[in-house]
Amino acid sequence: MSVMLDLIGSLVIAGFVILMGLRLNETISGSADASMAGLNVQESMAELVRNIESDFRKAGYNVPDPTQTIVLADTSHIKFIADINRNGTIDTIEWFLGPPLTTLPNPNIRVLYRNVTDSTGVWTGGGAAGLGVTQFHLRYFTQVGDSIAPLDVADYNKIWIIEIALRVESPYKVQDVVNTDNSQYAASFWKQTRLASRNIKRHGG
Amino acid sequence: MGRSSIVYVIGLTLIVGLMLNNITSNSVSSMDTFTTYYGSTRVHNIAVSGANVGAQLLIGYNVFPANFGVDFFGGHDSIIYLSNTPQTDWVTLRSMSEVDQLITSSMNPDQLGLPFRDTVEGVFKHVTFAKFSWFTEQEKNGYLAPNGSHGPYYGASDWKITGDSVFGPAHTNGKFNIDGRPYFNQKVTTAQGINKGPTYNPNWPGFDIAYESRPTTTNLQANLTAAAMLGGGLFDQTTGNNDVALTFMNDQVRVQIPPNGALRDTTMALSALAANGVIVVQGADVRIKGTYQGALTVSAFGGSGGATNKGNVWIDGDVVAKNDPQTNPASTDMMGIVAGRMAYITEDDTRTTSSVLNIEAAVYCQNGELTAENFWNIPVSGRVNLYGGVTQATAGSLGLFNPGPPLTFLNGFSYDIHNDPRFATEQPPHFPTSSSYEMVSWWEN
Repeated sequence: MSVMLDLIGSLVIAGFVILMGLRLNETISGSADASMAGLNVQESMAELVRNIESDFRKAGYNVPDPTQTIVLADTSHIKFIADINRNGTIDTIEWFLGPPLTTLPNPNIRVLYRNVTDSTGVWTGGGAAGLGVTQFHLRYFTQVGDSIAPLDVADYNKIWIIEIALRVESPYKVQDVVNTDNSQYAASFWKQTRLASRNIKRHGG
Repeated sequence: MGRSSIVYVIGLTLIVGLMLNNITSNSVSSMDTFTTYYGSTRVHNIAVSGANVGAQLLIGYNVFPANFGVDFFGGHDSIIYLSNTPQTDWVTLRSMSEVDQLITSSMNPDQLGLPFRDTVEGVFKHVTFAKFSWFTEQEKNGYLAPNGSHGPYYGASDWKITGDSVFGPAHTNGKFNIDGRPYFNQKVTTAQGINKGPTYNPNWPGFDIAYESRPTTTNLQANLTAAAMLGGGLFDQTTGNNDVALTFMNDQVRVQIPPNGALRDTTMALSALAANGVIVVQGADVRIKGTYQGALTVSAFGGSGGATNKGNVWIDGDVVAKNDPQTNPASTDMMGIVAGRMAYITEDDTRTTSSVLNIEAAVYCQNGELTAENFWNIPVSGRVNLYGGVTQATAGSLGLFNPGPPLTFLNGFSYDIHNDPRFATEQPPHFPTSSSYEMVSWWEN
C-alpha cells in the first residue's frame, strides 16, 4: 500500500515538474523569439534610419536653385533632387511606402522603397530599402516652422524642414515582454523632428 | 528514480542555459546596434558642430581663419580650409571628426569601423551682389545731380510700404523702414534691424541680422580696370572727360565718343571690343541702350578735376538680352552695370503712363544709386521693369507719389524689381563681390 502511495505521489510530483518544465520551456522559447524579433526590428530600423538620414541630408546638394529641390512632397512619398553621388550630375531621389503585404500575418507591413534616377531619368540604384515598415510619415515646414500641406506644389519652394516618423514591426506576433500570456508585434519607432538639409536652406539661392 | 531525476534536471539546466545564452546574445547584439548608431550619430554631430563653428568663422571673419582642431563631446574634430577646385577663389571647409567608443560585442572592432569617423564638407564663395534684387548701404535717398548738387529729397528715409513688392534677396547695411504691408517673398537681411512705421505689418517670412561688406571704390575700379586691360574694352577719358555712348545691337555695338559721335562713331563686334566682356570708361560717363548678346559688365568711373562728378551710367532706353532670361533661364546673355557714382534713367518727357522701360541687368552703384533723372520733376513716365537687381549706396527713387488713399503717382516711374535666378550661381564678368562668404553647398555623409 505504501509502495502504491509512493508511486502515485512521485507520479503527481513528476507531472508537476514536467508541466513546470514545459511551461518554462514555452516561456523561454517565447522570450528568445521575442528577443530575436526585437533585435531584427531594431537592426532594420537602424539601417533604414541611417539611409534616410544620409539621403535627406544631401537634398539639394549642388542644385543651382535650391528652391527647386523638392519635386514631390506627400505624406508618405517624397521626391527630391541632389547630386547624391558627387559626380556633378543631378539625381532624383525618391522614398515612398508601398501597399500592405497580404501574405504576412501582420497586415500592416509594407515595403519602403528608395529609387535613384540620374539626370536622364535612368534608374541607377535603390529598390526595396526596408521590410517591416508599417509607418513612414512625412510632414513639411517652412523656414519659420509653419506647416505646409502635402502635395501643395506652389509651396514646395518654401519647404525648409522635414519631419519624419518611421515605425517598423515584426511580421508575426511574439510574446509580450511584460505579460507573457499576451502576444503582440515587436515594434520600433523613430521620429526625426527637424531634419533640414543645409543645401535647401541656402539663402538667396 | 533518483538517477533519472538528476539526468532530467541536468538536461533541463543545459537547455535553459543555452536559451538564456541565446537571449543574452540577442541583448548584446541589440546593445551593439544601439551603440553603433549612437557612435555614428555622435561622431556625425561632432563633425557638423565643428563645421558649423568653422563656417561661422569664415562667414563672419575679419582675418581669414586658420585651420584648427578641438576636443569636445568625447571626440576630436579637425577643421581645415582648402582652396576649392576648380573655382580657386571659393573655399572648401572640411570638418573631420573621430570618436573612440567601446563596443560591447566580441565582433572584430574593425568590422564596426572603429574608431568612428565622419567628415562634413562645406563649399563657400564670396557673396556676389548680382544675386540681390535690392541692396543698400542705407535706406535713405541720396540723389546727386550730374553737377553734384543734391536732389530735393536728399537724406529722406526710403520706406517700403503697402503695394511695394520685392522678389528675391533684399538686404540693407542700414535699417529697413517698413510701414503698412509691403511684400517680400524671402526672408530679408538687415545689419541694423527694422524701423517700424505706425501701421507696420509686412507680408514676409521675417528678417535676419547680417552685414555684407562692399569693396572700396579704389579696389572696385582697380579690379575692373585690370580686367578691361586684359582682354576687355578700356575707354580712358581722363583727358577731355568725353562721355562714351554704347548702343548694343545683339553681337555688335556702336561706339560714339562723345555721344554725338563727333570724335568717334564706329560699329564693331562686341567680342572685338571686349573679349572677356568687361568694358570700363574712366574719367567720364557711359550711356547705354539696346539689345546685348553674351555676358558683359559695363562700368564708368570718375576721377578728380573735370571728372569729379563723372562715373555715371546713363540708361537711355531699354537694355535687354537677346536671349531673354525671363523666358529662357538657360540664356547666357547677362549684363552687369557698374557705376562709380550714379545710374540715371535718362529723362524723356515723351514717356506716358503706359510707357515701359525694360532693364535686364544687375546694377551696382558704388557711391550713388539707381534713379530717374529729375524724378520729382518729370511727367508720369510709366513703369520700369528691372529683371536682375540693384545694389546701391543709397536708396534710389524713380518717382513721386501721393500715398493717398487713393495712391496717386505724381511724377516719374513706378517699378517692378525681380531677381534673376541665374545670379544665385552666376554673375556678369568681374561683377563686384563682397569680402564676406556664403555657402554654396554642404555635404554630410
